[in-house]
Amino acid sequence: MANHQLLDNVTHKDVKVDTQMRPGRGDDISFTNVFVSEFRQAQGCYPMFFRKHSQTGKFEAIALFGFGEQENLYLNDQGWQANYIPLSIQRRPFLIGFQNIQKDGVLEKEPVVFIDMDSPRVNQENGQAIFLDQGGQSEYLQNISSILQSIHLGHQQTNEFIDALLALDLIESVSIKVALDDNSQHELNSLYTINEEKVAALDGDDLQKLHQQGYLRMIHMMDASMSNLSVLIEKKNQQL
Amino acid sequence: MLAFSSSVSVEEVANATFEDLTPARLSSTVPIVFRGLIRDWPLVKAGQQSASHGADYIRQWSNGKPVQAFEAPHEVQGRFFYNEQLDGFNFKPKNTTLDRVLDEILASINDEQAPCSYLGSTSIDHIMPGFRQHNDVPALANAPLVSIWAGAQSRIAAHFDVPDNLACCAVGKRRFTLFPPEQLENLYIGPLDFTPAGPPASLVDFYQPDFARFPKFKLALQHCSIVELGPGDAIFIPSMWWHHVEGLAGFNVLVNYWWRQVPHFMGTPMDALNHAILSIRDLPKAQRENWQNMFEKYVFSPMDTDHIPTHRKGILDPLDEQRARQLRATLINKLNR
Repeated sequence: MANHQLLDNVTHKDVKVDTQMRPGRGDDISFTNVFVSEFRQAQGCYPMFFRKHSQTGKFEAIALFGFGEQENLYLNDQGWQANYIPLSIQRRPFLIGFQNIQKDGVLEKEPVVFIDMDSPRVNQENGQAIFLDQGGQSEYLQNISSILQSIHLGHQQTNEFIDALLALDLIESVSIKVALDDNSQHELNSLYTINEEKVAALDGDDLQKLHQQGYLRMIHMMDASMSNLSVLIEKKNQQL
Repeated sequence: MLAFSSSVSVEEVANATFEDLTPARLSSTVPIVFRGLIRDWPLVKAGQQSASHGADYIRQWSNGKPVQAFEAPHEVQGRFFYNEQLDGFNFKPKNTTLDRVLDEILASINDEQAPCSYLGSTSIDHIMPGFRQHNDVPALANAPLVSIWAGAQSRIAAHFDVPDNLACCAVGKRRFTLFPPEQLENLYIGPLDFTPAGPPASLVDFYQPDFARFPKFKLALQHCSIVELGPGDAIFIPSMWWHHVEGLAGFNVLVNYWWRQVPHFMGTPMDALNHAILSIRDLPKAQRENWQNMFEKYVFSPMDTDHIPTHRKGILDPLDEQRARQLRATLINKLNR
């Protein structure tokens, strides 16, 4: 269960966040959202795919961490074993929310920070203080705010990227079959990727447009990220 | 009905034209009424035919963007204010559209039980682009904020605004009850950090002043000016003048211009007041008085600084954009602790 509260420096003045990455703190998940702004870092560590959001049915970009439902092969008792941790993991246990405010005669949605008080990271003893002694914002909170801001922008930018791919019919369903050392077979369904053959067959105008928008680079990064599938398989084999 | 009458008359310009809005008048330190200033606005002419003509004219320009309006139960009789216990308000904000608010206001004219909808201070350029090409005040065409206000009968408690203000009654009838800024103490101003609509507001009910609770309000009344504006009339309200505002007709529309006489880089005086409350008010008396002198000599009546070489005067020189930026950065850093 989640208990999302609007963060403020009176209610949450003594709250600390344990930022150590360990199993059992809510990060035992097999994938997370990634945004185009972090494709470069993410593609060095994780295989990246698209999937359809379970509720909205809209495509989103994800980084894959494991083969089972709550399997995160990057996470063990020593921490998160990768050079880069996606923004949607880094933000935890904070979330972005929106409040209606009337500013200079204009109704605006102002981004505000929420905290999930039921997160196992939240406590009063260990970890990063959210607020300074007298109620100012800690460096940690300022960093979280900028992560949340990047995520907010990232949703928009990533949706635009996906829309551009869909317009050119470049996204295709893919089934990943994995054979492990113990001869067990795993199959990953409900994933989508970019059809590289269709990309190669694009005509000059479409290609030029994708290039100008910076999307061609994103397409290549998603393709390159596939090499991390073997990393994932190796991690799984080591656990056998 | 107001429970008192005007004590001080306000300068009036009869048959005003836009030429009457001289720089001197627009930086006056007392209010000035400009009768008929916007009488030629198409909105004013439409509103003089009927309330619904006025509303239809506004709808022509509406782009349908969401707006925030207020709604109060009819028992409140248009007095948008705190609730009895002062732990909340007697109205609720609601997200709606200009067109819907206009419908509700018009429908409430003939329905005494209808809740009271009110649109306050909403940017015209944001929700009615194009309107000002036909309904504007040329001298203030570059004012940073031009707003529309619409409602049935309403009254808004006495409050002040930091910018200078030209308020134009476009449709219906408005009554302004004005007090000079120094009447602060006699107006029994409510909380600074919990206000009905931004600025702090007088707790005195001008229809039924409770003189037992607010005895000094009688002193304020000696300085009170009451002005009624009909369609086409406008009033200049200087920065910080207290004003209680009533919409008196069934359908009232106000257009107002807010601007400051100082550059945009300057800070917000209310922030400075809050900061002074945080840092100075609770000092021991002797220390506080030393700071009073510091403020006097550095802020209110700056003393001579000729003993400092010109290149080292820093923030003692008049501020420019760059110095303001540096000062702002320093303050942000120091405040965060």
